[in-house]
Amino acid sequence: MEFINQFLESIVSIFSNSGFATLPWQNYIMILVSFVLIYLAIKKQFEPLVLLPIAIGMLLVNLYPGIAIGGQTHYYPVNEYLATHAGENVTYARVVINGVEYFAKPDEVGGLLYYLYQGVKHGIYPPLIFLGIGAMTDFGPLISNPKSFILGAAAQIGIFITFIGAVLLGFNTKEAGAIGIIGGADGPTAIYVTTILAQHLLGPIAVAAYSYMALVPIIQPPIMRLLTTKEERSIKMVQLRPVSKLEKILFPIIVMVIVSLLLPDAATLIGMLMFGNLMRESGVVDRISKTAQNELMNIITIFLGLSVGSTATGKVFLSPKTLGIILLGLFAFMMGTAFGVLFGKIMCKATGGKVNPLIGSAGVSAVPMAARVSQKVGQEENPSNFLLMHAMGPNVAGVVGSAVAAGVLISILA
Amino acid sequence: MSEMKVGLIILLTGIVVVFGVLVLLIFIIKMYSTAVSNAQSRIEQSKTTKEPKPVKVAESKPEPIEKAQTEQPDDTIPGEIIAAIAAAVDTVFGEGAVTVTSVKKAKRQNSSGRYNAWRSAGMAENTRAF
Repeated sequence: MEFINQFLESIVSIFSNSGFATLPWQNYIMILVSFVLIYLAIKKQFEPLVLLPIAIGMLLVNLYPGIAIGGQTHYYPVNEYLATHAGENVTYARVVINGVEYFAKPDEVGGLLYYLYQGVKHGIYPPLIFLGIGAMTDFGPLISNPKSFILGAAAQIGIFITFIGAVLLGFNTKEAGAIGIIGGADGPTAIYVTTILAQHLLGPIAVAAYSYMALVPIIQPPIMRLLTTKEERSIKMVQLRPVSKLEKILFPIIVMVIVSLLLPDAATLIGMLMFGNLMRESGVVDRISKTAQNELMNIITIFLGLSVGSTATGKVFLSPKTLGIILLGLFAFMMGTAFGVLFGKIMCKATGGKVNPLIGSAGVSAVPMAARVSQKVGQEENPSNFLLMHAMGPNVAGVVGSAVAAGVLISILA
Repeated sequence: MSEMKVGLIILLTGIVVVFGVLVLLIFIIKMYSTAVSNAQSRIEQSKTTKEPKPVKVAESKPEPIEKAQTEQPDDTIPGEIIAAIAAAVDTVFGEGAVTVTSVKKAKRQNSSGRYNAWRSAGMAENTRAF
């Protein structure tokens, strides 16, 4: 009889500790949200490299919240502890609280995602992603036509306009800065800025940023068509001049020095971006350049995705703020696209019709998706028009521009 | 200061700084691109001026037949051997196709008046009958 009672107690204990008995209803909704993201990543291939790890991180943390919780530390008065543990070689850290000395004893090991998250919390992963992006990026089109920087800057206006919108909707300035940066259409930059300004919003902001980056081909074309005429969309641009190897080697060094001196808060992102690019262009460190582009980038993407997903717990995600963030993120993205195209039109007029305004939309830094969209919309009007390389200039300028904008926000708000 | 005021300041600062930095980069890139292309064209120019002028190689003209014909015959070669050589040439190239104008003794390769062993071996190998 006692045996059966113990057996039943064990069963009851296991059930009472299971997710079915302990999880709040919000977690179940988040589990469904993660299923939707998994579907979008696999079936629709919306940024699957990032969205899939985010979705799995989200799923795991809502199934088992302990996976993202750090180890517990308990404090024991030194005298009492030594009295009850005579002869033990005690190596725990000592802390003094209200004049009493305590041993800080870590009693439990934290969950896996808690430790992976430290790379996000301390701002390690986003710069390393930038290292890989730099190693993969050819800045040739930008060096060939440096005026593209204007379009890269114009597309960042959306960030600052959204910032005002977020303040009007009741977000504090730090939260508004983190939300505005979604308009830069640069996932690592958005995560980096949010980590520094409003870590509690990391989940919704990262999900919104990567979702909108995946939706670039849907969001941008209507805005581009609305703001341009058929004649403007049909403009053919002259071929870019070839760029020498020396120019390509000097570019990352010069940008790194200038931007870091002017905006020290952007030095980490720009420094890593330009270091990656220097490895690529110098041609003398092929091995590590390829590692930065492939293995390192892939490993960090997995860690970053899982960590960011693990911040999207039911309690954090299911709040009115998330809805506000998603709407403001979309607004920021649309504003960035619109200002890019409008400045493209200004450049078109200023150059006597030599610049196709469609390349302006590529100023948002979703590389290379935004440039591909410019090419596609241009070819719809004129099938013999090839805008891709021209659009790559503003596109990579957008990466530099969003890092500069991030530096501005951090330096003022942090 | 109200949040809205801070917001407006950030809007203005952000736009000015982002444009300022990127416009500065435009000028710097243009400057160094010009400097690099100038330097490279100068290097190329100096390369072309330093390159040695192509030396005119005098075309080797065949010696006039008259001169060859007037060449003194090698007295050390017996007339029968010259006749045999001329007959062999006539046989190979066809009767009257070519004219033997002179026959010279080849110089010996070493002081002993004999080819060295390796050269002799090479010649024997290359001239051996099938």
